[in-house]
Amino acid sequence: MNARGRGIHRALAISALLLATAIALVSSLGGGVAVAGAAPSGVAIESPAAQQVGQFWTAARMKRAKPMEITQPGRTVGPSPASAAAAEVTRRISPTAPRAGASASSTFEAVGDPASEAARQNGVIFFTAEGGLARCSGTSVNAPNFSVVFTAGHCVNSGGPYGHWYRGQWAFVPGYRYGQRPFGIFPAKWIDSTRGWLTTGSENFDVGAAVVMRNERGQRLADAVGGAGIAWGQPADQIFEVHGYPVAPPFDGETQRLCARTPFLGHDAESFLSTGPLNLAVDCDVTGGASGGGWTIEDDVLNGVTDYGYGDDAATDFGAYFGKEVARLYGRAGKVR
Amino acid sequence: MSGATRTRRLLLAIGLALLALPALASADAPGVPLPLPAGVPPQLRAELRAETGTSAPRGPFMPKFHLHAQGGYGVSVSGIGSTVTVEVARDHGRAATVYIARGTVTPGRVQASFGDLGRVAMRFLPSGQISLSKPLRHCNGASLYKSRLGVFAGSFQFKGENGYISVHAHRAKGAIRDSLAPHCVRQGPRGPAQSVARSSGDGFQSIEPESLAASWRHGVSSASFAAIGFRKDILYLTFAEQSEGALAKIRFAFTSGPAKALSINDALTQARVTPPAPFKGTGTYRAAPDGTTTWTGALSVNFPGAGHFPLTGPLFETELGAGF
Repeated sequence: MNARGRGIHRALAISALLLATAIALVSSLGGGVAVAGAAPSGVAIESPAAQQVGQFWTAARMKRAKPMEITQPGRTVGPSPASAAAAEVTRRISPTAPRAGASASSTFEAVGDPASEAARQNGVIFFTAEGGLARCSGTSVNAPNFSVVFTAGHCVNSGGPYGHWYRGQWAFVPGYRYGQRPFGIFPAKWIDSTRGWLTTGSENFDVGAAVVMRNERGQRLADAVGGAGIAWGQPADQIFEVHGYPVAPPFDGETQRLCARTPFLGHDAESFLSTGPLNLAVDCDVTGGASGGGWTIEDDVLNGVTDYGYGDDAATDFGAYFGKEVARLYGRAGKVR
Repeated sequence: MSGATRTRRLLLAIGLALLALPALASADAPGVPLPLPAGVPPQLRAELRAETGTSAPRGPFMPKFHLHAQGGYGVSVSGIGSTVTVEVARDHGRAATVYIARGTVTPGRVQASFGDLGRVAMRFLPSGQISLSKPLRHCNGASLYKSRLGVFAGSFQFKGENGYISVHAHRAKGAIRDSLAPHCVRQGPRGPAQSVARSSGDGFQSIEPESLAASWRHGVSSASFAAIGFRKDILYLTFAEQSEGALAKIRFAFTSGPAKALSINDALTQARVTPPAPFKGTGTYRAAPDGTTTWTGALSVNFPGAGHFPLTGPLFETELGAGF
């Protein structure tokens, strides 16, 4: 979860208005360096092979990684979603295998078997940032290249015009549990975010994506664990399944968690003060580390990701709305080979 | 985060929030300058400007018109980006409710729906007159913005909650404000600094007032109250926000009064505050030896559209700060 969420700034009840008034000030907090490649077309990563990335991410390093704070085989893909769908206002891409929903709960319950068919598309993202080991949550999404992970924008780029990319050792571990990698590790070869996140740093656009290489076994991501569907332009008033790997207490980051069938609560009032589509609030008691965790709607379709929360209200989770910019991001990611 | 730091940030955030609302500054612009409400005391004004390194609104353009309404209320309608606001204020802007919705804002038009409360659909008819904001020395003598004066024509209908205000207008004088984006440099005790290249932390260290801060948040609603000592006066600020579907309501009020209205004991275990209007009643804070605290009393504020808004109760997290 974003630092402006559970972390320092967003721990205060109203401090986000500070962000609304001086978002650029916030953008400069990290001392970020403008990167020539910060144009909204993503950046390629010269990652070593999965074997080498896997050697870097030992169980001890994965356990030490801190939440990023500021911040089935895909064989049923529809007709060329990456090219045609991105231009549409609303669209729903089917998952590789729709699943039945769980019973409702706003408590972040432990998932019994994160390697099960119902849970293995969700995982932990590890990377290096600002000299340390960092982590987020992410979701494998059905795409033409079978290799797309969706997460929060602040898990790939620090955001805003002075933002910088998190290129170091960026890898996705689906089905992670207590240092185990049941489906191996998938290093990123390309990361990107929405144009709005890259140019303004507005949390209304805090969505990111990566295209990953094959794992140590030579499998593509969606071949190994499948991919959730994805939809954009949907009504905000949905019932969501919120997935993620929260790290901050009372959680430990070692188990996958799920808030089942949690309803849309409304928009953050502060979301109105920034550009972009109004973000969404749901009833789910996530903590740091859950950033980027997928919000799925019926039939296992991704329709949001965890972005931030407030320190004085641990029971509410906020995420960016999936609109046109997310559609474009999905389109770009699906074309990467 | 330490309690003292938390309190400082809360106080500053409240102050900045007060600055944010009239401007709805664009999140796109680095070093966003902000206007200061007339009632902000000079001390806080200086602190906030030093903190932000800014001084007036900036954005590509901002249409705005103003109307007077019954009951002493002033109504301002403005737009920036895709956001349209209706601000209902009284007491020279010291108590206001800002209604915010997504809409259409162009150099010639402002249009939005506020649901059951009303709607605005106005076109700008320029008079040809131009006014420039006061030239600023730290901006090399340049103005921060120019205003194209004229009249907004069309339809504006707005009815506040429970009918506390009702406005229906077809014409209103107004302006389109254009940012001139001059190059401004902040001249502080450490020498010149670019407003866009500031770090976050050190400016907060300069504020160490005696203070009481209380806030709560639940879902998409929140409220905050703060009493901050500035020399011989106490500045009182309160802020509440609420989201209802496609409409957000942000309310704020501030005033100042004599220091005797806030008492905090040396051990920071007891406090009592009785601010002047638009506040009403007294808030009492007590910290027990076991660490439990209470924040009780009849303290409330009279926001436009939300009279007697409670500012005490078990939902609030309350902190005290010692002045030094």
